[in-house]
Amino acid sequence: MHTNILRNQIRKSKKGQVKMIETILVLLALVFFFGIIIIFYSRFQLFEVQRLAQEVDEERASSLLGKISGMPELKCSVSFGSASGTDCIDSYKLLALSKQQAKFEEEFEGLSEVRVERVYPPPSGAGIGQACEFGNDYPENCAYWQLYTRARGAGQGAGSRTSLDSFVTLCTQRSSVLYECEIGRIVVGVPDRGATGAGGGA
Amino acid sequence: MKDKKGMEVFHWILIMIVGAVILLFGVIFAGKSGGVEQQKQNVLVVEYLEMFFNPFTSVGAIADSFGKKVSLPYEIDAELRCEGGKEFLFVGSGGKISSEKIENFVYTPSKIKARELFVLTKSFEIPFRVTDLIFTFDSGQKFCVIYDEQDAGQADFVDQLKGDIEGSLVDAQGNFAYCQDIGCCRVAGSTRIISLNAQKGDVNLVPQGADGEGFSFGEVTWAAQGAQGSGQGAASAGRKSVFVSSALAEAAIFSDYPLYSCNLRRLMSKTGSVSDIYSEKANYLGAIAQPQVCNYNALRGDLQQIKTLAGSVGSAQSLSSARALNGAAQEFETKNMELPCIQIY
Repeated sequence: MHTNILRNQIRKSKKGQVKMIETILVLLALVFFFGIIIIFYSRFQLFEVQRLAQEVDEERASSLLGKISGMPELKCSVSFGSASGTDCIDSYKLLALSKQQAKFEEEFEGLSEVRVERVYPPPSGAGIGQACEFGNDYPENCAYWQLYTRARGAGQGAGSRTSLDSFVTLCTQRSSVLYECEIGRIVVGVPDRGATGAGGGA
Repeated sequence: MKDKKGMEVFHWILIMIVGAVILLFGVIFAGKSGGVEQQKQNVLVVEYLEMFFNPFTSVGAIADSFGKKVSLPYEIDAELRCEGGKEFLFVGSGGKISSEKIENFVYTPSKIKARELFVLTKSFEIPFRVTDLIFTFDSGQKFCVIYDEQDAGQADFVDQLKGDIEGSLVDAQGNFAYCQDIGCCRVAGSTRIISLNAQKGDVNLVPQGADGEGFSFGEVTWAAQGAQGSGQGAASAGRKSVFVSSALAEAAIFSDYPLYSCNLRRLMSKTGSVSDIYSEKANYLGAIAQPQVCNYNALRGDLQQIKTLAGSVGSAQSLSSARALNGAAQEFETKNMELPCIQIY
């Protein structure tokens, strides 16, 4: 008799334990399920924010590209007559700016590089691939002006993810009444946020 | 029996705990994602405004002034602050504030709470173009300019301001009243009074140029808070600065003292940098010119002087430094125009 009662009690107690374990397991599964949802959602959000940041960087670069040719530091001044009202860049100012890069770094913040290239007539002879320097045959003696290169710290790399460019008129004054123009191209590099983790941003 | 009851109680407690946790989680998550969404919107508006200002910095090369009405996706709380020689745009409220450093020279009368903004740009030349100043104000702001019709300098300046507004920002014409006395401004319901004849407006411009020079340089003071139109920040009260060129006089109209003063330092620093570019250009031109015909060295000296004086204007903001800079700029302009060979600018 006593043995039966004891057996029943043990059976009931085992049943209770099994039910409790079941409940705990269901709870654990729920926590696990919610955890996975949270991880996926935050990953998605992070990806979206990164994509948005890259988009903003590219839009900003595009906006800066338009601004560069109008900068007083580069733009043809009134001494160029009617050319001053166009998208014209003074090649002497270009050279001066390329020599004083440090002073104008803030103007190009958020970009990885800014370069102006001669396009037509194309550079020839010793000028091919050469950075511009002042000389007797300036600017025929060179191919490009490097206006800005972003300094890279330790652990940073990759440089530009994309480049945007725009054609401009490059003019050089030959006398008080004569100036020569050629076709040039402004190239701006947009930094790769993923690789550098840097950039402007809010 | 007792075990069964115990299990039921245990289940109910568990269900309540889990339910409470899920509810709490949902509330926190909804709150956070709402905040993040607002922050995202603020960031986008800041970026949009910053990018919007960029093309305005280039228009000075093709036109004297340019204006535009900007409609934003929602009403913003915005403020421009100049700190440590850098200008920042803040957008947002209630702890959700986004900021962005802006490279342009943007002037605004006070905090902006609006969905529509007016933006006007004006080229700053001394005598060569240094940059374009951008003036921004909300569409509800009313300005009143008190001036003396009989004074040629004041009348010229008002005509120029009217021309900029009417020519570039037609929609904002109703935001400006031009009066002979302060009573007329009150009738016009103005929130910001500008005085050109010492009638103690919110902003008082006192030109100091000789006859015919008009607003080429002078002094600007900001009245105590609430003195007149009450469109004034407390930080502006009783503060004094200077302007060099009528473009800067206009900038003072659209600005409080802290922003104006800090931007003046930035602007003068940029004037120095642009002077260096022209000085380097003069160096190249000197190398290809005949020295007996064209003396670029003298002009390089003048450019160096402009740079030094601009530095003084930025730091001291005194009338004497403004007068000296204005004189040096005029002298350089004359010498450059008289050059028999390639002009520097």
